[in-house]
Amino acid sequence: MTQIAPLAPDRLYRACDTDRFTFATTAELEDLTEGIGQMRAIDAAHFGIGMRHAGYNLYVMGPPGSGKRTLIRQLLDQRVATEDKPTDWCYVYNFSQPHKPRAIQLPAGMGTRFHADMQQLVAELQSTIPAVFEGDEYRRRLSQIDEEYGERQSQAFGAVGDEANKNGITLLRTPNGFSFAPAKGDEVMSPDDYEKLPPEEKTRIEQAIANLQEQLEKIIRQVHQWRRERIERVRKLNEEVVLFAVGHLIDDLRSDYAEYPAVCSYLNEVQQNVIESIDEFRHPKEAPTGLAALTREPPDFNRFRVNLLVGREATEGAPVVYEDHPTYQNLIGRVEHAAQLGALVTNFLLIKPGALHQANGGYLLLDAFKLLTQPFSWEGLKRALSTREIRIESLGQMYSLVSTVSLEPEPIPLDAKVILIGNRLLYYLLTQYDPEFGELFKVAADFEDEVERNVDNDLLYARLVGTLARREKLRPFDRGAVARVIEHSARRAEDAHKLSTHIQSLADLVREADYWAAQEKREAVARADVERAIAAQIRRADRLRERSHEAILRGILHIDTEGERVGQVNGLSVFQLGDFSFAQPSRITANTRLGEGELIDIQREVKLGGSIHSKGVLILSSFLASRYAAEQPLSLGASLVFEQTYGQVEGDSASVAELCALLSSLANAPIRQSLAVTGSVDQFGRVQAIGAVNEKIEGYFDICSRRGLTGQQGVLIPAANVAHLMLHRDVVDAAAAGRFHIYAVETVDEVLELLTGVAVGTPDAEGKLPEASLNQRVAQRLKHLAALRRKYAKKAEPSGGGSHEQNDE
Amino acid sequence: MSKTTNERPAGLRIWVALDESPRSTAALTAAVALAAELDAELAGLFVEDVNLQHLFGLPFAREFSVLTGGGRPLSQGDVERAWRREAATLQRLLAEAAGPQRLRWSFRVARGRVSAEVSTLAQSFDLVVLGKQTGNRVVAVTRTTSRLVNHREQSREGPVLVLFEAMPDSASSLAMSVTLARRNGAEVVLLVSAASEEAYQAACGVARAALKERGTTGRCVWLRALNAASLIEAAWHEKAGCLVLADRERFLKQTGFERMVDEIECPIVLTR
Repeated sequence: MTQIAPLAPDRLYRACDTDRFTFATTAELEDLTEGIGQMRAIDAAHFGIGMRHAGYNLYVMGPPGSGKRTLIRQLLDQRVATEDKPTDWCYVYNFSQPHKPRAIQLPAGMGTRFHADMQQLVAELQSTIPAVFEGDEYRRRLSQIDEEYGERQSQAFGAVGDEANKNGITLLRTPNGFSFAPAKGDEVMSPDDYEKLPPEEKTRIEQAIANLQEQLEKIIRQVHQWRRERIERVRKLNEEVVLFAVGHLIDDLRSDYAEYPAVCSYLNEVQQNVIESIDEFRHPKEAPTGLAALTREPPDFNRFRVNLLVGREATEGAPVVYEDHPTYQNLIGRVEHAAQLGALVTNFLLIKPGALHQANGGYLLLDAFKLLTQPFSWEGLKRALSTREIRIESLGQMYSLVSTVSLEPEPIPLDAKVILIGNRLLYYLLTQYDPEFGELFKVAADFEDEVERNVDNDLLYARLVGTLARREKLRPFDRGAVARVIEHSARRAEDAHKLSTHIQSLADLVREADYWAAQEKREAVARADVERAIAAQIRRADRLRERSHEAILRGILHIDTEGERVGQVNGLSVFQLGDFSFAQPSRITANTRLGEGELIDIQREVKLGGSIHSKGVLILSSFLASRYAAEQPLSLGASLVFEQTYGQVEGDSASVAELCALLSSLANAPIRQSLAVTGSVDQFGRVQAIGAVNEKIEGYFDICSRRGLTGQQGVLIPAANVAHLMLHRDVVDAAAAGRFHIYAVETVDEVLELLTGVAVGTPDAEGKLPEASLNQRVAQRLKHLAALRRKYAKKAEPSGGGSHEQNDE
Repeated sequence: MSKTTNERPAGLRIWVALDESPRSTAALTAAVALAAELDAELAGLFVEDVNLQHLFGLPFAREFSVLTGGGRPLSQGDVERAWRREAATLQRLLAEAAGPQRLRWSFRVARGRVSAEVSTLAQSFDLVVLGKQTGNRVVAVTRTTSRLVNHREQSREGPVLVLFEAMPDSASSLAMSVTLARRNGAEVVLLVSAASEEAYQAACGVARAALKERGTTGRCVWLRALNAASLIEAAWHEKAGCLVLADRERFLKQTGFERMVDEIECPIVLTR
């Protein structure tokens, strides 16, 4: 029988060697800005950020709390300071198509100036134009036009009137126009008097009236022509007056913005509109009252104002925008509405920018999960990135949810680098299921969960601790404290040779250690403070562990930690509760009987076993059949169960324990209850690594310790997990004192020998197993069961032969 | 003549001649102001021009539209319908104007000539406000054409002109002009008829003093002759908002009265 020695204490915990640190406290160390062991991600990020071509947007992936966002922000901050400020963007009124506001691009800071200039222009127009039109010169010139017009009319009608008078005819008004009639004195001749006239006189009058009517018709047509001429002359006069009064104001602006054709073109339209809207300036609408206030448009000259959508006056370098709430509207922008008499109305001044506008010319950071959980946001972002323009569209309009006047602002060209920050699952799902994703996010920066634990990285970790302390204005950490932080990081990484890159938990630990140092009135944080912070974290989270262990100690959950039992073994189960996990022993039992090779996993039968667990049990069945019944039917009926578990069991880390319980039952070999086992097994009996090995060992140790360590107790772990051991101090101390043992095993045979104290036995050259060996006992039991099965099979056959075959056992 | 009234006639009556011109609206405003001040009855009059009655009886009667220039036969029915509509509109305007002030009002429709009707009715009324053109002169035609083709014609807000001759004859017209000016926030312009500069200055001094007694001030304008032409010229030059004339009998008998009524664009208030 192979003798397996327990692991030496130094293999249970890899302490950090503080002698390699040359600093006294982290106050002496420089800040760490580039992260630890993230060169792959940093290189990818540099590449993604630097590539200005379309589609080279960045997906930064890694576990939450790994400091992705902070690191990316640091990289961006270093970069954007040297980049040019992007341009300002304004929306202005579109005089030809008011529902399509025009976008104007201006150099950084010019937008703000343009906004103020237009505001000033409108104020000046409002004061200058009425003053000019109220001036004597304008009145005189307008009177001249009116008089000329009136004179023309008077002369024309006077001529007709005179002509009529000469012929004894009068021109008179009728309800809708004019008419001619023969006069008698000052009055129109009555029909009776007319009838009394001689026929030749009547003929003369009728002829004269016909001529006059013809002349009048021409004059009336002429009057309309004169009227048009008058209107045109007044319009030209007004234009001339306005141009004289305000033209220089607009000319000044045109000269100021001569380099910007879009502004000049807009100013031309403004000038034209001012001329066309002279009356609004001359007679500004009085503030209405009563019902009129509700129905009349308020007096304003908003159409001449500028909506400064994005102004960069106060910014430095390229913008870096993080949108924490990436709704569609927060991302793409929106057109707001105001309620007026129950109706929703809008104008170009109510166009509000989205994060894409703010980040245009720079960088936009988004949380991938938040983005994907906001309706329409992902589609909106993709549309903007693929068309390379920001088109503000109202969702309500798009989906006919609201029916009101809206705008179609001119799209703004998009030149922003979008950086999505998320976990790996989302990245792979998007890659798999969204064909556009790959085209738009060509660069992935994959952040490591953990880094190699070596001398260099230990020092970087020390700098990181120092940086965090400085950033949060905490006490510096002394060497011992740093070492403990590093050791805890390795424990968090579940690997003695790795360090966790989970910055959030590290920052929490640093802060909490500082708190305890403050309680102790220390200048620098010491190892004891870190230790206390870790203990306090566990203490705050371990209520359930306490209850669970209490149930075992009180005998409510049956866990034997001494003695021997057939078909029963201590497995180890891990419970994950948020960020905290703990383990406790689980009693795994097996029953064997005559059967047809079926191995019943009771957990699976009642749907409390997960698929990986079921896979482990099926491997056991295969192992049994190949080792013990390769040439005969496996006539075994067996059942396995995790006793006193009432929830889901998942994972295959108990498959070694299950196999041991099964073989113990078959061989009738009792198992030492002072030992617990963890590990999975393959079809050939090799023991494979499992997760949470530290928690599992500590879970069993805690129970044994509370009951009193006997020196016989211990845990069997896969040899591959030895590298992961970073056990608590009390476990290591107990192991060093020989009161608790950790065994590293590679095969199920080693496990069986340790658990039963019986040699497993290997077949000799003829294939015979050593007498009384465990394997021989198992083989014999299976052979016996096979014989029984054959016997019962013959009994069940039709009784044609009329005889019974004897049991050959 | 038909008559509509809301109350029994009062002692003091203001007669206002109306048509659908903007001047009519101004005249109505002035008449209402005076009626409220004097606690008078407001009497509206719409005159159906007898000339039109003669016209539609003639075989060749045609009406030429201002808007289209086209002619069409003019029938009695068309004219009478137009009169009825116009009279109803004016009556409603009168009622609406009088309503807020709780003024007594009546409305009459007469057929004849404006000047003749004014002369007739002036005998029994205390005050006449003319907001109507006489209608058969070229100037009236021209003005109507201008009004119809120009969509907007602003209401007149000029000063109140009052003919000042000698106290106490001008006392009532001065009082009325002060009332109207105060109502409209307008300036009072005193038209002083005098043969010489000295006479003008003296009369102007008296006039200003009279205004001062009424708690206001005014500006004098010298009329070198007292006739229709000089009044038309003064009203035009001052862009008058209203013209107040005392001793109306004198004007009604003048030959140029109709021309004056047609050419002065603001309401004319005639006192006894």
